[in-house]
Parts: sequence; structure tokens; C-alpha cells
Amino acid sequence: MSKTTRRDFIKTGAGAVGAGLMLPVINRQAMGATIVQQLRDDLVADNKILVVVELAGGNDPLNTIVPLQQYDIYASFRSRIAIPRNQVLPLYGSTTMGLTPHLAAIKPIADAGKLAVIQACHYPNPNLSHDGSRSIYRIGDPSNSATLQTGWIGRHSALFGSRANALDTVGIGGVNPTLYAPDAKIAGINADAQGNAGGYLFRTDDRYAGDRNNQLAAMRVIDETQSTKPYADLAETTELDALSSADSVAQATAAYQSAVTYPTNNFAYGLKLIAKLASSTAPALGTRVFYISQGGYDTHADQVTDQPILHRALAEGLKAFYDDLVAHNLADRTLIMIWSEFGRRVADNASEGTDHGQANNIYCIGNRVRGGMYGPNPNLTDLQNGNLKHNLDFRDVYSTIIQGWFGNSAAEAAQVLNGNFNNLGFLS
Amino acid sequence: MAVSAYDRMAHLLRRAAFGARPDEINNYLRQGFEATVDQLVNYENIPENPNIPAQPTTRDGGFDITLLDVDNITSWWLDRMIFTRRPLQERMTVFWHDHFATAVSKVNVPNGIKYLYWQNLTFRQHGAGDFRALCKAINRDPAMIWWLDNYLNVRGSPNENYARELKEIFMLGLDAFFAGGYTEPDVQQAARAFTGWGIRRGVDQPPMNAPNGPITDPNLVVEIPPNTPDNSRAAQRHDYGDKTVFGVTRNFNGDDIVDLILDKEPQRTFAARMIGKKLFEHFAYENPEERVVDHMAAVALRHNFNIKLMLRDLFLNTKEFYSERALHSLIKWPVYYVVSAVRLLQAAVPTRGLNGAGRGQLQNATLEAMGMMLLNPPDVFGWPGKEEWITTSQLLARNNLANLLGAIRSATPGATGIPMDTVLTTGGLNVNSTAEQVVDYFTDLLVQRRLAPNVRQALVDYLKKSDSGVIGAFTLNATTIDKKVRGLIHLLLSRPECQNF
Repeated sequence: MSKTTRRDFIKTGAGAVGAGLMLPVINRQAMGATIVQQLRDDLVADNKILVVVELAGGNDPLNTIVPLQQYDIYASFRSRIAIPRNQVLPLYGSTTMGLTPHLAAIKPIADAGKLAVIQACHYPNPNLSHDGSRSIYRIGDPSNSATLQTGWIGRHSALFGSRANALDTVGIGGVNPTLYAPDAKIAGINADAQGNAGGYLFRTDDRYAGDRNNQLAAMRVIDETQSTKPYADLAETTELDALSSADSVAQATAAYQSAVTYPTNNFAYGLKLIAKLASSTAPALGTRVFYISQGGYDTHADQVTDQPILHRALAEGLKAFYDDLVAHNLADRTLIMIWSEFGRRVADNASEGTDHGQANNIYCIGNRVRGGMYGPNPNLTDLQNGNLKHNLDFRDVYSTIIQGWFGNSAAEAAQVLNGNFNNLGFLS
Repeated sequence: MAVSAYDRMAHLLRRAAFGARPDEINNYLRQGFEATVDQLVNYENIPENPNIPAQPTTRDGGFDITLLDVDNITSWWLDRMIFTRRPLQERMTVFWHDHFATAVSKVNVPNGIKYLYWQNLTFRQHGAGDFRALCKAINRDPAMIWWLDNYLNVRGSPNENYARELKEIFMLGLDAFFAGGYTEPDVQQAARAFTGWGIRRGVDQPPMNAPNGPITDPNLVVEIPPNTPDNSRAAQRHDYGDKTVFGVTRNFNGDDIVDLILDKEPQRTFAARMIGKKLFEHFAYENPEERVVDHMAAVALRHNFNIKLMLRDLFLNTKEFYSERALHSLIKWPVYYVVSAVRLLQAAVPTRGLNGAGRGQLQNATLEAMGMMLLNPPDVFGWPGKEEWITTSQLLARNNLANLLGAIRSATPGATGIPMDTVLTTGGLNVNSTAEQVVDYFTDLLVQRRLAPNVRQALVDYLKKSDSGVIGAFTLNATTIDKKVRGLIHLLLSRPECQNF
């Protein structure tokens, strides 16, 4: 199993793209700040923003969207952890599937028809390893082949994103492999407890403020001999991107104003930072994709305690974020996609938890989402090794987003995904 | 191109220690490679720095295990790395912390902080010892038992989490799974062998307002099923039936699974390849050739998984370790970046606040901003590292730490920052030194490889520039030392060239 890492591509691509590495360096030298700014302004006019939320560890789908139509079977599989029937919230008036009460905070979004639940997505021959399965989702390739080594969003960004904007793609807390491709522009930004990018600036010695420009000039000098060492080019371009984006990020976060109150946890701090960066108009940052993770979903034990805590943080964070988007007129051009590397075992274990499983739901939120349930309901009487079978290929969701959100053709989506997948039509 | 003896020695000391100054490198060269490697590897023979705190300092100013918090541990750990004369022990402690990655994000329960401290002591104890003994120590490590839920693994309803990761990550690797080295049923059966390996209940209650109970011996908080069933809770929770693992059927317990992996083919060879390759990639270069993995595996098998002998072979007999491909091919881990900078500059930076506890200028949050909060790896796979250390915010965090190092000018003992006069004297720099000589010395000290001519020139120009950017003359004096040489240190540590090692 190959992990999606930026390294793998750097390694395998080093010879092939060696000559090409010169180009972006020269372009950057030639490109004045005003040109970059102009490019950004052009980009941002009607840009679509995708916010990807990874629920790391394998969020249990059956205690997220509860199978009311097979409730007795569900409850018998899960005598220790089943959500009581009378607590399940109705979803889209459905009598077959309902929402966990711990996600109640996003129910108003669902009731307004802006939540799509794409049910039982996965791939054949499921990999029950966290690393194995999340790599498959990140690359967008279940075949274990070496054909694709980059993240699916990274490949899209490299083809259709900005190569000049250091903030074209932003990973909160780091650069997730999903975002990576050699020609994609990605910044990793950490959020502090104010939802600011606290340390995202290049500090110099306060005692000699007059020397700062000399320091910056020396930092911006590019190695003319082109080091052949691994990562040398990545470190150089990333440092230059850091220097060029630091001031914009500081201005954007300073200018943000909002009446929305976010919860106090790391996930919410990250969402708040996304809202600040996305809503900035002076300067407009032109970021097309944001990525954020919420960890802790590997609930082998005591799921009844842990998953509700995570779900409440998820839902309350997303609700605040959505309200903030609405307040900043961004809700029409922002799509939130929520995924997790696998579902969990249908039967609970003696530790009041669930072990690794297979099919899982993917969730999309946004004003241009056609709310509803997509794909057949999972069938608890037709399992594979005790796990839910999948009905939809997870790449159908990717293809739908590439076409329905970013406006690419089916052929372009196929180019990114290395194959043709269905447009599920959950975007209008 | 042949690598010079100096460059090879500098490389060894970067990889097996936290780097060394040019004067130190020359000293080691006079002793030779074999003597140097022996000093590094047989570190228990080296008298430790008496100034190293033996234990973390808690907020009472002493060491009260009930009060122990994460910052107490990481400050102590940073101090150890900065001051140790046994750097390889510290490097291996970090290596195992990443390999058996356990995080406070989940082990934040009562006593969890203490468990993580004990785990650190286990890594320290077995750092360059017997891999088998280390794995068995981890089988009964309270932090691991909690982290991977084995305290809930009971007869009749096994929890597979620890048994799975023991194979997938700790001992065999996913490569072995895809090559048929173990199967899903092997995981499920091995989980039964670990049933009952848990944590005793109700024996170690933390007092009010403290995270940990009073017990100081981890053996008193874990419960391990005896070989012969008795009335103990552990025995009642253990499955004494036969299990079939790797085709062998017996009444295995957890330690038997470790032995089985390390004694039975083909698992033994898969384990040798996994740990051999992991050590090589950590110390030499990534994605080694198949013959290198073969070699590392053969060494592991020959020495029966003795880590010290494997490392000694790597540093003395494995020519790829000193190859051009290995030199400067890795990205510094954040903890390495910080510790090596402090050590090379002989800097005094407090890792703790007043009272000996709390936070200092250099602390776990410093590392967290670079993507590596000690005691809190992102998940059981450890830090992805490599190119994932290189993001815009994480590079800025490195830049800003470099700036902090240069800008500390306190008179408080232990917080005086870089002793500029000492550093310049060590480097043989004086009032007659040219800007080029200053740049070259600090490059040799901090980057340890030649800079591109235009980069070197830019740094020389930096030393000569006025605030208005005009290039003038440079003289090494009190003013330029405080402004320009400190600035140069900030720049060299921040430059992309200094992120590799």
C-alpha cells in the first residue's frame, strides 16, 4: 500500500519534472506584487470555495444517520450503544433514516434543505486499516496501483487552480495529503484560540526594526544553483510562499468582523479562521479550497461517551460556521464536504464501541446543495464480514463536486480522477 | 564524488546526535570513526551531564508525581536533549515515541500523564537495547494499554485494536500484510492472546486537583494474566483457549505473540525488514534500494534484533549511510531543528518558568507550531513528517524560533540566549574577520554545507547593509555583533538550506 504523500511524488517525479522546476521560480521572480494582486482580484470575483472536513478515525455512520426502517435489527446488533428510537431526529420527513440527536445543531440546515447525505459510499475490497483506507480516499484510487500518487484535490488544483496564489489552497493545521500535487499551491496555517493565524508572520529583531527589510531581502534570495537534495525545492518555494502570504493573512484576520459566536474547541477555531480568510475582501485572498480535520472518531471503546462529544463539537462548529458564511454573503459560493475513511462494524463490541468497518456516508452542506438522501439506504441484513456494503463509489461524490461545484466538464473530472464516475446531482 | 572524512564525521554527528560544531567535529576526527561510533552507541559508558534534571519538575518545585503535567515532562525532555552527553539515547527516545506513537489527546484520563512519563522512561531504558524486550515492555505499558483500548480487551469479546497495530505498525508493517505475512484472522486470534492485559481498577486514585494518583511503579497499575488461571480479575478476563496465529495453534498470551513474530519464519524476516528499513530511513535516507533493506534485515537477524548492534553496523559498516545520497537528504524534525540550533549555538534558553515548572521561552508549544507537539502525535502512525514538516506556517514557526534565539538578551542565568563572545571565540572570529569569514563560519556551524554563491553573497551583503539598504564596509564589533551577527544567525537558521540535515 502506498501512502499518499507529497514525498512520494517528489521522489518519483524528481527526474521527470527536474527541468520544469525552473519555471515557477523564474515566474515568481518576474511577477511583481501588483500582478499577483491583480490575478487574485480576477480570481476572487465569483470563485467557488470548497471546505473539506475530514472526520479522522472512522466516524460510525449508523449512530450518525440511524436506520429507522431496520431499527429493531440495528438495536439488536447494538444492545450497548444503540441510540434510543425516540431520540432519533426526523430527517427530511423520512421514516426510514433519522439523525442522531447529537447533531441537532445542524438540523436547521437540513430542514432548510441544505444538507445532502450520500449514503453507503466506499470501494470494492475494503481496506480496514486507517492508513490504507484514508490513503485511498485521499488519492481517490482504491486499486493500490502506483498510477496516482497525489491527492485528488491537489490534482484538481494543479490543473484548474491558481499557480500564482500562495493561498490557492489552505490546510488548517497542516497540508493534508489530499491537497497535494507538485503544481498545486498550498499553504498550511495553524489557528489559535481566537481563530487567528497567530504565528503566521515573519518576525525580526524588535531592537533593529530598520534592519527588517534587509533580512527579508536575504530570505527572498533563491538558490541559483538549484540544489538536487530532496525537499530543497519544496522548502524554497514554501518559504517564499510563507513570506508572500504572511502579510495578507494578517490583514485578513485583522479586518474580520462577525456577530457569530463559535464554540471553544480546536475544530471551531479552525472553522473561524476559515471564515476570516474566506470573507476577506481587503485583501481578497482567492482561496478555492480549505481543509480541516476533526480527530477522535476511532471509537473502539466507550462510543456512547465519545462520539456524542465529537458530534456536538462538529455540529455546533459547523452551524456557527454556516451562519458566519450567511452573514458574509458566502453561503451561496461555499460548499462543505464531510468524509471519513471508513464506517464501523455494525455490531458493537463488549467495550461499548465499534471496530473498523466498510461503507460510510459522505455529507455535503451548502446553499447550492439539493438537500436529501442519496443512494439506497444501507441494508443491515446484507452485510459483508459484519460490515455495511457500499452502494456508491466515493469517487462519484468527488466527480459530482468537480463538475457541479467547480464547473468542470465530465472529461475534466475524469482526467482528475483517472476514470469516469457518476454525477450524483446533489448540487444545483 | 568522494565525501571527505570531515563531511562524513559531520554527517554522523548530525544523524546519530544533534550535530556538532566544527571544533567538535575535528576533535572526533582525531579519535576516529570507530571510537566515535562506540561513544555514541555505547552511551551508557559516558558520564551524563550532572546538570541534567533527573526528573521533571512539578509546580511545587520538586517532583510530585500526582502533580505531573505534560509541560513538566516535555520541558524536562527538552532539557535532556539540550544538555545530554548521550545524544543517541535521546534520538532513540524520540524515534520510539514516533514508532509506538501514543498521544495525550486520548491518554488524558486520570493518571494518563503519568503513564506517558513512564512510557518515556521505557523508551529511554530500551532505546538501543533489545527490540523484543522493548515490545514486551510496550505490551504492559499503561499508556499503550489505554491508547489502544487493550484494557477493554476481554475473553468472549476481544478488542482488536492493539493486536492489529502491533502487527501493522509496531512489528511487521503493512507491507508484510500485503505480502501475506499476516492475515485478518491472525489479528483476531492475536487479540485473544492479549485479553485480560489491562489496568487495575481503583488502586491509584488521583487526589483532588491533581491529574495522577500516588503510585510510582507502573507494574502496580497494570494487570497481566498469569500463565495458570487463578482468581485474579486479569485471569478471569483472559482467554486461555487455543489460538491459531500464523498457522501455529497454542494457548498463546501476549508476550508469546511477540516471540512468535520474532522467532517464526517468515514473520521474523518481515519484522527484520520493517525495523531495519525504518532505522535506515530515519538515520540515512528515504526509499532505500532493495539491497539496502536486505542488508539491514540481515543485520537485524544476525544480531537477533539488538538495536545497538544494528545501529553500530549502520554507522560503521553500511557504506550507503555515508553516501552522497544520504548527506543532507532528510528534513529536520522540529524537535531536532530546535535542539540542534540551541546546542550548536551554546545557547541558554529556559524550557521552564518560575518555580522550575510551567512554561519557558522554549516549550512544547514551540514545537507544536512546527507540527510536532511532543507526547501528542496525530495518531498511532506517528508524525507523517518528511514533506509534511514543510508548510508555510510550520516554516514560519521555525523562522520565528530562530529569531527568538537570536533576540534573547537576558541577564538571568539560564536565560541568557546565545553567548555571542563565546561563539565568536569558538569560531576563531575577531575584529579582523571579514564579512565573508563570518558568513562562512556560521554556515559551517549551522548549515554544514556550501551555500549557492548568490545566497552566500546575499548574506555577506546583509552584513554590510545599512538600514537604508546601502552596502558599506563591515567590521566585527559590539554593534555589528548585536545587530548583524545575531541577524545572520536568524537568517541562516531560517533559510531553506538549513531545513535539511
